[in-house]
Amino acid sequence: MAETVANCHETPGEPASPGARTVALVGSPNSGKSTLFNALTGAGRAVGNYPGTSVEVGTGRWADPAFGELSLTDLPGAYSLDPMSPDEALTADLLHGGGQVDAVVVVCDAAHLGRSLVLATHVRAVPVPVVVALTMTDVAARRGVEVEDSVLAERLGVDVVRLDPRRRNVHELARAVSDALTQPTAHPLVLRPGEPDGCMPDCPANCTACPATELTDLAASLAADDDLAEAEAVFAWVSETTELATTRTLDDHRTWTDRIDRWVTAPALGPLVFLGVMWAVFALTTTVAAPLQDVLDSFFSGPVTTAAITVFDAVGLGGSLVEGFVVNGLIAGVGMLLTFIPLMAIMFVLLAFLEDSGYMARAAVVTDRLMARLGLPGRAFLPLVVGFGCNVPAISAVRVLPDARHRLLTALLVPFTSCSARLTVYVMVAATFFPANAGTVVFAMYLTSILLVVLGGLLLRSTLIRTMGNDPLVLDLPPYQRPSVRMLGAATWMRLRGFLQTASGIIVATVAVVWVLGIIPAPGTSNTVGEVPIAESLYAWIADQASVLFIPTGFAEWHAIGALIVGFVAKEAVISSWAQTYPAGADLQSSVYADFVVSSGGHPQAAAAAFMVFLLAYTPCVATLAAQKRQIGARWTATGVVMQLAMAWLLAVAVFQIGSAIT
Amino acid sequence: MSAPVPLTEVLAAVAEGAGSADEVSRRCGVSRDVAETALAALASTGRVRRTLVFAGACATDGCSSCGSSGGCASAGVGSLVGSGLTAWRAVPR
Repeated sequence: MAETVANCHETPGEPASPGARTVALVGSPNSGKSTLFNALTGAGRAVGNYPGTSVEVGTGRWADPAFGELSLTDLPGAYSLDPMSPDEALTADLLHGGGQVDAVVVVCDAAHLGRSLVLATHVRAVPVPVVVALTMTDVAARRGVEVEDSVLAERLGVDVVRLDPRRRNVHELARAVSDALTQPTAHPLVLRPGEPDGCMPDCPANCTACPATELTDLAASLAADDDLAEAEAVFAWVSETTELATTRTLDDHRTWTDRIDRWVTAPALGPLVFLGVMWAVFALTTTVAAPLQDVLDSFFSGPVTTAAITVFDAVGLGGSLVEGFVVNGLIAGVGMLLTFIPLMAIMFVLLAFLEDSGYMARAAVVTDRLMARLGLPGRAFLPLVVGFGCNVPAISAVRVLPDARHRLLTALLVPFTSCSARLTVYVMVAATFFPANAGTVVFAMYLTSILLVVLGGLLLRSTLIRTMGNDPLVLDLPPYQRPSVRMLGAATWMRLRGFLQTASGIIVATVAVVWVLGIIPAPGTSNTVGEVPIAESLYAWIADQASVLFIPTGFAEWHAIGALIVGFVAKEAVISSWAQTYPAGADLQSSVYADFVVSSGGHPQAAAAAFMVFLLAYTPCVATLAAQKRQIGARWTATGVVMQLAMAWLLAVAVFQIGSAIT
Repeated sequence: MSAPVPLTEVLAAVAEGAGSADEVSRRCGVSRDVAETALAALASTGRVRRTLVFAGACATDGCSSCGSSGGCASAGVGSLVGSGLTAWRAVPR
């Protein structure tokens, strides 16, 4: 039915046989529709645009002894059949088109019964076999709401099947669909105000779908001028049906979501909860990952390096350029990055947990409030949050902001959000210089990032972008839910794989460039190519020239400056290029510590803090610059780079000078 | 039975900035369930719309338009808020 296309997030489904009858699955968003679809089709799902439209639908094969085989179409979530969007238009066209679908399963969320019934009444206005699947009854029960499905069935005039799609007890639904396909189609639900009988002229004698209440013909109402009056009638009918079909077993109607939100979104407590949660994430990440990271580090710098050297010796390439590239370049650089896999995986799991549980949406609201109080555009916070993952898509996301000045301001602020590539450097530096408080130091870097966004925003608002409206963020927050292990695993794997794919390509390229620069002698030396100590190479010479600018920061030594220069390309490459400039098998942390002791005049912790602040504030990567150029043009991108470098240098100097004075 | 609140009152609340069922519930003095039902009924007329305030970069642009097309490289991309942050908006007539 649908023209399927590849989709990186879906599993291709088994198509139904040609000629199989088609059943459409209709429901509002978050009603459990897609979960039910997966349960019915065995999680096989082919996704593609419906022919002639840009609307994406899922199709799959639903097999059951009750009817043999059906083609099941998962239509986009909709709140009504009013064609106000392409999604709703497709659903309406399919149902009103006649013969395009053989039956419809309307998924009704028992926890939001009224909302679901509005859509159900619209579908029941169409002369097509309908079965109602009642989902989320467990959620409703926890809220003290019991739904009587027999009352619903009587009011709607169709079978109502209570099910929990997650438990996959869907055979009763198959039986009901089979009955609907084989028995005469129930009369469309006729809603006619002011006519108590409510029946159409051709209403069959045994019609059960025409309750004698104030009803309206919904199909006609869509074209009526006085649509609000029609909607009032629907609202009244749905309200009455909901009241008849539900029983409240608890006096306190507040849900768990209400109770939790009372605390976590409170104006004063909410931000503190947010900070506490994020501190826990980073503390847990660094604490749990540290021993695993040590094991991997020992593995790459020990057995792997030794084995590689042994192999090169055995084939007569010991001490060759090839051995140098593989051992000092690839194994040192890529191996160092791989030691961060446990750390990234743990952090991704924790963040996915926060996102899927619904907490992150609250965090967005809480932080938005703070931004608004500072006079910064609240909605701009949303792309900024994405920036904590990766700056490039965050800059693309500024397009959702309606105001051009908001887009400009946000695109300039995104580089100050600390992407996860920078996290690897924080962890290494924090573990080296602040081993007892590494998690807290990493957390402090994220707080610093937020502070930079705020300060940068205030600076821009008071200088370059003075006029700006403020559009508060008012959201319909989703309820909290228990994250599924499957979702956590899938989200973590997708991100980890993406990180490694991106990082590995960049790192191999930068390792090669650093290696080439590392075998070329520095100007004024008498070494020959390939036989030069790295400290006397062109790479070290370039970094050393630049390090003059960093003397007030305390980390003016060529290893660190070289890593920062490489980091201009991408932050994923900082650790690998840093490791590459020390001898194979050398402990990176102790080597860096020793160099910082010298460069800082005995204040290595202050220099390390300054280094991390500089790394946070200066230009994130060339991909971010390219994204900025696309969004805000070359002039503003250049302005942003100057602002980032200036802020990074000034802050690093301030941190080191103050830090070295008090330590 | 009559409706527990006139839809015109709900429509006015949304037009004045009540973007969520909770906010409509507060402003109109009805339960959240009633507010949700009223919003759904109004949505069926096209008078109000649930708009996607933010869907994350991936949901907005898709994979192909992303500068880091090597993959969703980092935390936070795309699924920050599950299926997206939405708000109700009145549709001008």
